[in-house]
Amino acid sequence: MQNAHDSQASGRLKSALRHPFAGFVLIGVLLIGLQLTAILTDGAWPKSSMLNGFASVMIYAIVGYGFTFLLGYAGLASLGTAGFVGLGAYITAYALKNMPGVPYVVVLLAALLVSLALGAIVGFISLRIEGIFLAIVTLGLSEIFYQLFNNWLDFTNGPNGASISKYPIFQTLLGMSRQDAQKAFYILLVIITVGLMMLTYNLGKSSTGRAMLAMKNSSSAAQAMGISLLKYRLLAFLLSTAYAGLGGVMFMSYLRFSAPQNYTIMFSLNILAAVLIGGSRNLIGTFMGSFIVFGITPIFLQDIPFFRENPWVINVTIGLIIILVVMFYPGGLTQLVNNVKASFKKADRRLS
Amino acid sequence: MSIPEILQTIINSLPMIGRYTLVTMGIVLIFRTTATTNFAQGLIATVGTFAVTWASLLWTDLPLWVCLLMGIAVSFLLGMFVDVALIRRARHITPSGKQMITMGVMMILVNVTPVIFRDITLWTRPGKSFSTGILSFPLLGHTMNITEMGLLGFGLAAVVLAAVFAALKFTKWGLGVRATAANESVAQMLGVNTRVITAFSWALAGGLAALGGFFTGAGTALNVTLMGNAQVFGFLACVLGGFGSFPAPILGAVIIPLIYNFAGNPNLMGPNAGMWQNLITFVAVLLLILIFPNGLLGKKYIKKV
Repeated sequence: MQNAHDSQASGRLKSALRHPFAGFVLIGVLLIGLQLTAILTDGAWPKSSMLNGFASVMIYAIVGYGFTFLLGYAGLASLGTAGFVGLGAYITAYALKNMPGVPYVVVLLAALLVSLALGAIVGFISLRIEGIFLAIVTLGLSEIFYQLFNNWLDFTNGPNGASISKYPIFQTLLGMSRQDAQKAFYILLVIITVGLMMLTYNLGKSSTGRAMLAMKNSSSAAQAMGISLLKYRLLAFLLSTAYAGLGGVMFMSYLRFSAPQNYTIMFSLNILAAVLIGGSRNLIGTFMGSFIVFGITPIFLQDIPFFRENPWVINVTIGLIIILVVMFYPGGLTQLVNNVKASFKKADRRLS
Repeated sequence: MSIPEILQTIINSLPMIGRYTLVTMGIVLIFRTTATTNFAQGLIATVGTFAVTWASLLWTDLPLWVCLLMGIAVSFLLGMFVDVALIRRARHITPSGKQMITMGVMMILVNVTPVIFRDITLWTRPGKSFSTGILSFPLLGHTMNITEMGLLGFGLAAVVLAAVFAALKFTKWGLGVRATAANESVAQMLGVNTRVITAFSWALAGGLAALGGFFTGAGTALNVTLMGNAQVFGFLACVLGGFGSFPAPILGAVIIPLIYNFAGNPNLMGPNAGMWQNLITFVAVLLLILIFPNGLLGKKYIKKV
């Protein structure tokens, strides 16, 4: 009886582990575990610079999840990501600084709405032209955003950058100390990241995601099946815009500083790289991709003098990885993991 | 704005028209022969420009035009290398995949160039340009001014582009390019060596862009974003004119500098015009693209299934 109960429980555990969300939750638990270790060891390990590194990986991963709709599902490459992230960040900075009475949630929603509204306008412009020209038009768009960030002094404080002094909610509303607020915001960030992974996963498996995939493989065939190209391309664009705007809000709230130089084309290229490396549609892959592109430098390489003095080495490596992934390994990390699994299974079969 | 002012603004646009048409021609050549939108075009030109300055300031006492030829050769070889090493091997990949490959190349070059040319980053070429003079000449009864270097750039661009167009029209290579542009596999079957054609197109694109880069870099501090605007505007010129033919993007590359210079005119756009010049140009061009999504001279693109 006892045995049967055990096997039932382990069966339930197994099926829970096989659930698509298990990996997402695992990532969340690991990230929170890092923060808890830091609290328990009183900041000895991991250092706060390392935690900040992971926080920025999460922020970029959020932007990356939005980008998977464009690149992974709709097959469109956009270089306007940086602009929308910057927009979210600057709206947050402006509102928190100049309108102290407005609640954070309202600021967040406002940033999302503005991003969506602009995204819709841009989406309509972009969608009138062929897919591969989208990257070109959005490149022009990101230049517009950059010029705005650099020159609209009242809104962005220009090249000097905008900053906020306190962590929203935890420091302003709950009156926590700066250190505690940072830790609390880190945990909020983990929750948001994992939640968005689940949301993105479900959207991808829904009819919306399937329609986008059909469009990616053959736009003509998709149209013939009654999929509205305009609707789903625009939807992909809007979703990626909303995620980028949210990423911007989180960027400003956690890192509390942003300057126009943050939002150049390199930012957009890095996001593209992160999503590509991860395998375009795999969310854990996107997280790992963000970790490789944005996380390795602040988390590990910062302590190695060679990389501190030659920061270009890592960027060149990322450029090389983009080329190699596109040319030889289009599945990215996901494909790598699957290949390793398959070879293990093969070895297993040979042994038995 | 008075008439002489309008004329002067148009004259002021000529150097930029020269530079942008060169870069744009390269982008179209590459797009038509290999279906690749080359995001590394600006940086291939930048490497050549750095090479010119490095050669003329640190390496040799040879006259500047020899150094210029060396710089063009550097970009020529770099363009050829990108095609032979990467794009040729990526023929089976989708256009957006190839686009991402060039973005990867861009990312590498943007980081490697300042390291290779560490000594001359942010240098200008003092006393090492062909001329620093300003030329005055009468036009329709008004006196116009243009820098001699700018006029030289425009004139050289016009001559070089005329030569490229003549080559496209009359030489065997040009016929090969047009055949490859129409249909690569059919061209191959008919005996066109498309490998040579594409490699040479990429190389020529690099060389043309380096010439444009040389004139962009004359008199300004060198840095790796030197050709950023030329790259973006070159692309937009192609979309604005229409990617479908060789001359249409050149029209785009003529229109954009005109918009840019009028947008930067303080009498027309107010005292802060210089600050918002880029922004206004981008917005105007994007609006034009919205009105003409297939390009000013383009035909509706119909994809066969």
